[in-house]
Amino acid sequence: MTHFGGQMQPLTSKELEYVVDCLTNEDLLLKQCAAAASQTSNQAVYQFLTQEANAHQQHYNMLHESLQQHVQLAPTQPQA
Amino acid sequence: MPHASQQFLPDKDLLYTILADLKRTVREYTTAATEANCVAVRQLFTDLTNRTLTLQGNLYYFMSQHNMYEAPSPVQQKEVQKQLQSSQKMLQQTSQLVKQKFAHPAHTQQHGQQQQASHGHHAAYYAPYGAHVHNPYYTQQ
Repeated sequence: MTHFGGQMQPLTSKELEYVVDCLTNEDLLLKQCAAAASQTSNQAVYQFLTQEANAHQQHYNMLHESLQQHVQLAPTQPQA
Repeated sequence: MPHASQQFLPDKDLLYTILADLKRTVREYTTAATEANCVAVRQLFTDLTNRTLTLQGNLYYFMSQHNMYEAPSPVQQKEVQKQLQSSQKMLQQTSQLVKQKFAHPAHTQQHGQQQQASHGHHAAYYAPYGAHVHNPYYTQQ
């Protein structure tokens, strides 16, 4: 997914930290959904968690894709 | 799927931990959006804030529908009335102050000829800042 193509700027250190933290959050939520789905005996809960897990997988992919898009923009030398 | 008695936690507790983490994640996405420099990154965090808010809302609704989350009891009408009156009073006082401040801005004090033009500026106070000009950080909801 491309957001505002052509307006991309190199990531700041703060942005990178947030993206990384958010990747961890989505990863944890995905694992929590999977763990809960494996435990429940309620079909409705199982189905709900399946959809929820798919959403977190998508979010993870969006964040990962953003990192990929910013790799090329990042300076190779320290900036003043 | 295991039998209910073999679960290490009841469904209610399992879902509550996810609900709590969704609340925390929404807050973090919101903070990240407000501190982003790149327009594309801000938009990504804004989208993820909205999507995660929806997920949290859906989970809360699912839990309440399955008797896993009891909403707090409603507040009494007199308490709402009290706050309503207090809010109306505050609004009146603030409206008066806002009107005065915008009618006599400091930048027109030394230039009498601009005084006339300043009237009506306070209307812009209620519009999204910069919404009328090109502003890549402004997201139309």
